[in-house]
Amino acid sequence: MNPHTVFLVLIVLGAVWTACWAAVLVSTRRTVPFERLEKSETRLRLILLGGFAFVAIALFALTLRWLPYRESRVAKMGAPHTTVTVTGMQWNWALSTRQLPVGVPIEFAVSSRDVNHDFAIYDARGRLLAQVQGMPGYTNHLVYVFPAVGEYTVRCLEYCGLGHHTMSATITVTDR
Amino acid sequence: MTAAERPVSTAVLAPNRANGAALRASMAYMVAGLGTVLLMGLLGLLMRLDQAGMLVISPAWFYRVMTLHGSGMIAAVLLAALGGIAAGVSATTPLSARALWIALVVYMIGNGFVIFATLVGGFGGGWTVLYPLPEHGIVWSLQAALAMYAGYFFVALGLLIFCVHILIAMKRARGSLAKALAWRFLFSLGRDKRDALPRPVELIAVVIAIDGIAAAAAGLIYLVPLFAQASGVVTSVDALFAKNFVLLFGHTMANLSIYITAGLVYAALPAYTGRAWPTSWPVAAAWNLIIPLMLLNYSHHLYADFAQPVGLQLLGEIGSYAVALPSFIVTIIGALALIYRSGIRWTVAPILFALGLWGWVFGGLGALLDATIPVNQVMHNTLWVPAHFHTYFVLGALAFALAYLSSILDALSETSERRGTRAAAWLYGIGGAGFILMFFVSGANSVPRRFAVHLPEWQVYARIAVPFVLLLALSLAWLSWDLATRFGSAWRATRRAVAEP
Amino acid sequence: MIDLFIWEWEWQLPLFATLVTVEVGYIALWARSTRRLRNTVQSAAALALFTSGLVVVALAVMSPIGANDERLLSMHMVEHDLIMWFAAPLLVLGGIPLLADERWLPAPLRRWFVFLTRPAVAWTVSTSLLWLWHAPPAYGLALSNVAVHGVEHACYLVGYSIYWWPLIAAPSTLGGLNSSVSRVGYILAGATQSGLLAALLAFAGSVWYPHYSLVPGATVSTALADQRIAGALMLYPGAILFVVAAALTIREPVVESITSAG
Repeated sequence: MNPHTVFLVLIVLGAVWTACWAAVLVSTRRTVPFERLEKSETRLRLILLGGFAFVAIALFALTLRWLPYRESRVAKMGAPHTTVTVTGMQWNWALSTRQLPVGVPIEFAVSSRDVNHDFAIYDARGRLLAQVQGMPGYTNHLVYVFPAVGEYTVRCLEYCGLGHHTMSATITVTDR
Repeated sequence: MTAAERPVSTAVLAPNRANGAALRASMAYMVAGLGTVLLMGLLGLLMRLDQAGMLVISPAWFYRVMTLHGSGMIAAVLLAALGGIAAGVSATTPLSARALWIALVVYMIGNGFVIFATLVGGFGGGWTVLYPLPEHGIVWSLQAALAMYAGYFFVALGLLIFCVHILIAMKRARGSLAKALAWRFLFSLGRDKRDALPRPVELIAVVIAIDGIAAAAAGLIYLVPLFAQASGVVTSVDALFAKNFVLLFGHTMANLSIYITAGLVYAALPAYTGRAWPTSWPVAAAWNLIIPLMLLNYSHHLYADFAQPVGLQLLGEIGSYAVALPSFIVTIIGALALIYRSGIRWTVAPILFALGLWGWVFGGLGALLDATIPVNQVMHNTLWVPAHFHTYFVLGALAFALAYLSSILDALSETSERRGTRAAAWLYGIGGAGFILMFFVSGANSVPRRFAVHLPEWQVYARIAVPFVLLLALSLAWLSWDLATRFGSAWRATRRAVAEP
Repeated sequence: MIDLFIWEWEWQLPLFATLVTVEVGYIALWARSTRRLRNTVQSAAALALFTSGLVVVALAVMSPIGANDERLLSMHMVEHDLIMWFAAPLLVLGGIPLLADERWLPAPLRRWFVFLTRPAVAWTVSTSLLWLWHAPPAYGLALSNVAVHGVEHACYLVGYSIYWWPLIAAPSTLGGLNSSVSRVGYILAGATQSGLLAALLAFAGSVWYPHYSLVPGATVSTALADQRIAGALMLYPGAILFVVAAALTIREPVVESITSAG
């Protein structure tokens, strides 16, 4: 999922909405009796209800194929090739290994020694690729396939105190 | 504006012997809330300046300011909203001014605790006080965390008192809560009209009071194990339980504000458009649906907590999508229909209502995207999240609250708004839009939220935002000053009875 | 820290004599004004309340609470809380019926009274006395000199009697705050200043009053822990107290007379 694509969707939908909204505002210069609008208002509502409900259900069904949870990812990508144990703590990351192979499913078993942290993987261009919360008392499993060789940065994305913004680590991804 | 220019039918707010006192209490809520918003806004400006690298403060101070800004803003906007809806309801349903005042005292004492915990005690655990962080402060003491919890306790208690009073008052006025929620009308698909229908603002008041009680109860439930753990009665609290309940409490409180202030749109917009907005079947249906739906969507903040049962995750997703339907199809379309070709005069209140409608939908689009689980994977806890809720607040709840206060002053004050204030209202929209857009841009570029220090490549986004924030601040200051100068005569007017038309 | 607490009572003759003198003075005024009080129940209640206020002062100072005030700041805090939050309101409750008929109050006294019960003045007086006496030099002086300590307690008692009067007096009576909004503002102003002082104490990183770290058996760290408890004893009960004060002193509005609209 590309964040820039998501932003583009927002801008496009937002622009459509803004145009409709602006049109309504501009329309106020002329008047029409309210009773004459009732039928079209009801019709508009029913069309929107049907349309949105359809989109919502379709989107919901689609998302079921792209869940980030372990079972879904394993089903999609295959069994994990390597398991990395990750422990977050105030304020650094302990990883059982920082050298990982490209192109195969990696399972990150993430937990925390103290407070909630969030294990977030960024690529070299600064784009967020995947994340999972590290919770004390739980181990969460993130299955991820690194798309290319290179250096990836791990950041903490769950506010965890004074050193939250300093908590980072580097993962080096190489050919198998 | 002249008498000829006053909005049609100010009877809705006409003070009389019965409601003058309740109206004054409501107006006090709005002033207290909006005043606190201004102060918290300065803290927000400071945060953006720090993240822009323009006015760097220490991380310890950044996180304290962040904590106070977040909790203070949620509490402040909610307070203004509660005041607005009390004013709207009080025109036709007797409210006890004494109950309103006592709730206000309790609520403000809670705010005081939060201010002391952060500014004096050094607490910087974030408004979410996500257990176990408050007790692993390192730079703040357990005492400071306890003071923060005490603050939340009193705020939740104040909210509870307010909401319970609304339910009691509405039940007394209508005969039963079922009648206050128009259930006979609703379940007969609009055919059975034997019960007198509540005005939309009254029905909405009952809806938000029910959810407000649920939120307050969640907060109190959340605080009990935390106090027990802090005093050593239990050794630890489950992190997943804690996160669910703190969000059920806090997220619902934040969410409440937009729904309460939506009720204010129903109350005031008709007068400006010269068109009625009665309790139709869609209105009754939508708002009754919102009671359960508002409580479901908090869990879209837990998608990345993989330990949460998948069923709850999916429920959060469908709930987030579902709640958009009644809001957009009934309230927003209804408001737009009221405005469309109505010949409305664009004074300050209509401008702010219109800006709030824009922001509610735009912020909603951002929220719906992030509420989609695969998208959330790459947007959770980036600045996309603050983007959506700042849009809901600045160009949603706050805009609606300011608009409603303006409408109260239009109805009661002998003075009229200054010409420049309309321009200030539009500039508020522009400043607000630029400000929140930069948050969305930052989120799209994966900038994390809640970072005291931004990398150089991230600072540019905050730097672009700062001029918009300043524009927002200046226009808000102008709006507030205009409202403040008109407030006195409106206050005095509440002590005079006005003949019912 | 708990081992610094010694269960003992501390008889103080000057204090006792003062309280008895005040009680006698009150009874004299009470007897004169009994004719003016509406019924015997109200006059008996007034006497009982005023006397209880003085009893609270006596207990606060002479019971083990007050007897340990030089060993533990937390006990000293409880002693002060009792004086300001319980004794003072009780005295006011007993004093108000006496002044219900204000005609017999001499004019200069009456002017002072009206001035002192103005909300801004009452708040300033009580706040100033509270903060001044908590300044380390003043607090330390009170700890080392019994007479000064007595003056400190008198300042709290009188200062807070002045603070509570505008709230306890009914609207439209002598010194009473008239509107609900002024009562709410007044309560929050009182809660804020005392809460701030309490927070500063509760969150302080160092000991404010070195005296407490020099008590035999105490250390700087036990004194700091004791200070944090003292701050908490002012902060949390104080909040509850102001909420209770709001519940008791904010009344339903008097139905206002109708005037025609403009």
